[in-house]
Amino acid sequence: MASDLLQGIYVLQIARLSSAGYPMGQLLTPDAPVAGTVYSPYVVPAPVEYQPATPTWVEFESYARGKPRGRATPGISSLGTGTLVLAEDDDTFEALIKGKAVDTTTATAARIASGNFASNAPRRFLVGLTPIALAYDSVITYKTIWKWGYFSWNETGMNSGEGRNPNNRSYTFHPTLSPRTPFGQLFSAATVDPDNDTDSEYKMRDSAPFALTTYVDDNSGLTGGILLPYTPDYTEHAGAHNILYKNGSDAKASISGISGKTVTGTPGTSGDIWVLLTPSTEILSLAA
Amino acid sequence: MMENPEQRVGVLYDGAPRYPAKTLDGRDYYLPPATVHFIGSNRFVVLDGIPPRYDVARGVAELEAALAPPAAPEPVTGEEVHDSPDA
Repeated sequence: MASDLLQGIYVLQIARLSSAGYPMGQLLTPDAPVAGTVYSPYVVPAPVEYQPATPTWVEFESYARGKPRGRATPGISSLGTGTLVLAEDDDTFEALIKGKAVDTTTATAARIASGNFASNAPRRFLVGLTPIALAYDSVITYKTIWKWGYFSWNETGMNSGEGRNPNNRSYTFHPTLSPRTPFGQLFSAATVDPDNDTDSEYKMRDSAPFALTTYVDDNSGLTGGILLPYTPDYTEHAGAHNILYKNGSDAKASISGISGKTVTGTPGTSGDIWVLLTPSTEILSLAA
Repeated sequence: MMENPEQRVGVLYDGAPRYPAKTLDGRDYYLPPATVHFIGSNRFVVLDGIPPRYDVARGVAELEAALAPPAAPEPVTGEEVHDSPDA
């Protein structure tokens, strides 16, 4: 059965996108990564809700002699906007979506952040939200739902509310179409084969949330092993659970081992972009 | 001179990470680190999340210099060697 009830947001991952469409972790300059570096998304500590975007569907129909006749749609005219709600004011999340670092230099014991309301360069992200996916037999799995887009933001409000989450923060999410899957494969080559070789939503279900990791090859690091932030639940690298892509192509044959948080294999060329998606229960407990 | 440079170096030991206490830039961070840069011999450094504009290559070079053992003193030349009076 593949029908399940989606409940909660247990993991929210957000990664900058390079101009080529690869997720590049928290790198503020995603087109200028440093070889030999693992870049992982920011795992947002306090997500509460995502109110989905409602696309606008274009329709046309014929009406004559008092009766409806033909009716059709050529598709959507806009992807609409969604709303992401956080329970807390998160300066790291805001710095990421606004493209500005949190200043811990001016006063090293303080955290200082800019509102950046004069921003003129919306930054694109890969966003992964993971609710529980509950099937008819009450077995809990997780569905990681990826979206591409950028955020707009409002001023910071405050109030005298009490009880649970009295001062949520809301951010408008503007979905965009991506030519690549979350692991970098072009949709034109993807098994899911969406129309026009682009998409704005991608769902993946497994026994645990999919943790996203990007590694920029330096032609040596994989020999001794690279370090994932979260331990994969499965050590296999034959294509059952773990998705291991390099430069948009399946590269599991180049991986020789997954042990703990360490992935070893045959290095590629310096600058190659590996994107690894590995189901990990650990991300549920460490997303703090 | 960089203070406590060894606090900024992590090691993959038998495939398990021993995380450094500080980022490459000398800041505290939360585990697990999101951005990790490998510097050879199974060693790595942690880069700051949402980093300020930062030259990683220069930071690593400064770290390597701070970790290097002090150079051996140059042999003294051009001086006359006298036998010890106790010899």
